[in-house]
Amino acid sequence: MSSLRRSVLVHLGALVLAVWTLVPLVWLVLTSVKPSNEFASKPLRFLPTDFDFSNYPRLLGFDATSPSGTKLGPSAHSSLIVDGLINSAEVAVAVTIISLMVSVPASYALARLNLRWREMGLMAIVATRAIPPIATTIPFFALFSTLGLSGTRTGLVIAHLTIAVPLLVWIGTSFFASMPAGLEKMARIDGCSRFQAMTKIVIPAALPSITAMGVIAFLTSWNEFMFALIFNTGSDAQTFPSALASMFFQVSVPTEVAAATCLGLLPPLLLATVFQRFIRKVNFVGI
Amino acid sequence: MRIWGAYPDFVEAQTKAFSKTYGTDVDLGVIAGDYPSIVQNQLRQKQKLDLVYSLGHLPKAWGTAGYIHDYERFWAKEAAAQEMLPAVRDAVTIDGKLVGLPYFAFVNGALFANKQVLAKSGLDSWPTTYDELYAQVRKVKRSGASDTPYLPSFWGAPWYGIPFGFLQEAMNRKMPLFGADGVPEFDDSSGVADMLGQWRDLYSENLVPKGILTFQESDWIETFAAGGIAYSPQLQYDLKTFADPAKSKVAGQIVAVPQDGQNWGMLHIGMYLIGNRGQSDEELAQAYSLAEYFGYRDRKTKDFKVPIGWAAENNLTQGYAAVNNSPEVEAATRAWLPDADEQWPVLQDYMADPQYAKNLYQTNWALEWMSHASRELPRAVNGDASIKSTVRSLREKAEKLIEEYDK
Amino acid sequence: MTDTLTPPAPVAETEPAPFSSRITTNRYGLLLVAPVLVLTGLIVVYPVGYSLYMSLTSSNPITGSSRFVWFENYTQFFASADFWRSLVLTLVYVACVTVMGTIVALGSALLLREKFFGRRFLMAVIVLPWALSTYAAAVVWRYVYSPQFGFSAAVSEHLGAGATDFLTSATVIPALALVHAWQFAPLGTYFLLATLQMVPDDLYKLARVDGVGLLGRFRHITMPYVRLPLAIFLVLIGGQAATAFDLIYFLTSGGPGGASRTLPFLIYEETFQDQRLGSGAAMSWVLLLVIVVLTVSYYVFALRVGARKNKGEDE
Repeated sequence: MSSLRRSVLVHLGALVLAVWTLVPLVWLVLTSVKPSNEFASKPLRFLPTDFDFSNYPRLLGFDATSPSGTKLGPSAHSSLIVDGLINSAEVAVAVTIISLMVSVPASYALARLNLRWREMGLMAIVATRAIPPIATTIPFFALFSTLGLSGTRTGLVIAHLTIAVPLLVWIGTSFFASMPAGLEKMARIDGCSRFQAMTKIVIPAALPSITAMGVIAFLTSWNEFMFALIFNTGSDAQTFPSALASMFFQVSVPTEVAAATCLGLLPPLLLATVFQRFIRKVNFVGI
Repeated sequence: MRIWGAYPDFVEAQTKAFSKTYGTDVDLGVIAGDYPSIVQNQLRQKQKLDLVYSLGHLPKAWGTAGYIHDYERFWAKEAAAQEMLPAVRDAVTIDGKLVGLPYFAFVNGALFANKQVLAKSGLDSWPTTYDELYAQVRKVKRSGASDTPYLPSFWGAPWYGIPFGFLQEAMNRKMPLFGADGVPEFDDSSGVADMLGQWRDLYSENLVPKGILTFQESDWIETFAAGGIAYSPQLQYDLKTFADPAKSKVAGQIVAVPQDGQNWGMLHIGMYLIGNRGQSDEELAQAYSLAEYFGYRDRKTKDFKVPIGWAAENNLTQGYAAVNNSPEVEAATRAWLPDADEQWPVLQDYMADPQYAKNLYQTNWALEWMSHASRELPRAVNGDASIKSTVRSLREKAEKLIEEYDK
Repeated sequence: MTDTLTPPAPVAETEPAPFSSRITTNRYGLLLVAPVLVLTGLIVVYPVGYSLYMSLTSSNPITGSSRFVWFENYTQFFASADFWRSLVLTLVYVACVTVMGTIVALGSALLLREKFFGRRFLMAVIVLPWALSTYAAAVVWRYVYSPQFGFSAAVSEHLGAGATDFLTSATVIPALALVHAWQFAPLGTYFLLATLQMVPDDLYKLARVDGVGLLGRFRHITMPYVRLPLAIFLVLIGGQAATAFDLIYFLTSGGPGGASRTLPFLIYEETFQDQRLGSGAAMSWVLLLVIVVLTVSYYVFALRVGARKNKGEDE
């Protein structure tokens, strides 16, 4: 194969990959900035005649002006979406903090201490990842009724920890294992206790990895749908996914649904972009 | 309060007004999607639900399970029942007890027509039976005026979908469905089998839009509002959406087909139920008070404040003739209604004596049967299952449920 | 005059070793792992154990009946055609997702190994679908698939063809699997790319000189390198496919007519629509079993391949 032909093929392939990856997303964004009466226009248009960004401020509870100059009040679903975003953030932050607090020491121990039951312990924790969320919702449904935890943020945090903690232990163990051996020994020589060796030397050195773990915990909680649907839909602790579902399945304006979806994508995309270099460190292959 | 997802801004304004007048804080939750299941699960878990919106096929089971309080201790029980439309009173009264106050009452499957398409295909008379309707639909397609001239009533979206369309058309065509206590009166050789055969033809002849079996509620509205559909049984209250140029490309073209000896659609009733989580009498009284404000009259002014708001602003007609026929509502409706002088009486006629699937709805197992039907019926339409076996499965499910629930 | 007091004796000069250094390594490790063990014990092991008990009961909150039925739930759904249909649909879905995901991931990884204009940009954006929530991906694809107003409809309209319904009973499983692959293939791309970059270019050059064709080079050079990361990717994506719920809930609600009712959705219907917690719990145990079997067989495959590779290197 000549190098020119190869180069043309490679560029064609790259174009296909770019289209495949981006077109659905671009279409969503374009839908969100279409004037609502152009949504199902015949024939369907690729680009809106006028870019109408008013859905965004209106979903956040502000007034806006459409390109044609009409004054528009806040969207009917604005409080649903705003409360959902706030609740989602609260739940995700709590999940991040708690899961980091328990899984950082555990993955440190599993990775760096010469424990007799190391393999078994790690397997036992990681194996719980195989349990499908639908299987945990059922007993949780019964238990939450008894404990009065459904429809609360606390309940959702607990439910999300079932997914986040094993995941973080799994990833964290591989992080700590990949750090240079002998860090602790040097720390001990400098007069640190065993515990201080971890808190003063190893953990600070692992901060980038721990940041990545935190981002993953946050995203896990933010993106979770099933528990949010079953336990918190319609309650005052409703998080974004179930708020979006309530909009999606309702007679609401599709361009608004598209805009709301984009709004909910911003936090994870921002996090993923800002912390990209940390997340790249997650070397799943080595686990 | 938990409420269905339409017009949360309207409800929010009303709850604020209520809180201000009566000094009770009301927190509002909006639910859409798998509504009946979500709310049922919340009631089962005794979540804090004082006022909850429900459709007619739910309160019987919820009452049996102890999920809800009835209105037997409501101070204005008799007065409210007295003022309700007879069909509505019938629907909110279960085993002789008032279980809810009406949130809305309109016809599900009111037959809407697009005048533009009909004119283009040269049709000038309204259908007076379903057979005529389907014949006209084929004529429209042959004339080239529309490729997919018929948008049937909710053939997709399980939880509120195809079973409603099945019940209403069968009742409209006077086919036997359910007798007393929900005993099924249909089998694989009765009318409903022929009806499903016609549905399958509509589907396989591509008379209905593509993707119809996975439509969401918004698809129904968007697709009809985009134009090109001649006839569609729709939610009566959506007529206002289709008349709104901001939401519809066929504004001014959509009218309700008169009921000339043929009922189109059935009564669709939303009601306010009161969740039972072991409240004190005081809390129950507060819930009654909120329900009274939303589903009856404002206790202070004696006005139908919220009901008139619903009917006038959103065309969400109510369970009270005094509201639906009030001058405010009539004036507000005529302001947007195309051909108002002809159409206003047509709309009133739809609400005069609508049919209602009471024998099924007031069983303990209506929701479970409806869920089953929503999974089975699409298979008869697209040919995945034979019509006879689908009808048999609907019948057998009802028999099995009677066995389980009533023994 | 008065007796001078003797100052108190100083404390022994050597402090006792800190607690963490005094105990055995195993105990110290146990202390650090304990919070996770307690937490997973409380919120995972106990509930899942409880669901095993629930799976042996049958209750109906409306009639108020509640019985211990031993294995009746299991025997009941093993006798139901709907259950087997769902199980088959689940397996077909997993197969579709795995195949599509592998093709996309491997294809993109091979492509991104090359040098081309815009490579850095592409590297950065292919992560986007993976960063989405699954429910958001479902909304995105609703606006792609809709024959009424979707992107696909717009394209076919401009080409002068009629719109296609992608969610018919015959096509709904591959259509959903495509969305799944779209979303999760980037993860595999990153895995595979990391490994592919370790393959020495010389190997390819040598093979070409020896007249080995494109397919031969792929089989004999590329495959041995990517087998292990590929197997791990398959475990991840296969497990996800077997538990997929959000996509189905948003795009089809299990329809049309149950054509996309995979096990997770059937369990949802059984438990949260029909209120049969016992039977739902029983089915969820079957689903768990399916996932374990899938995972173990993938791992066995991966480890066997890994072992063979290591042996090969020893020789």
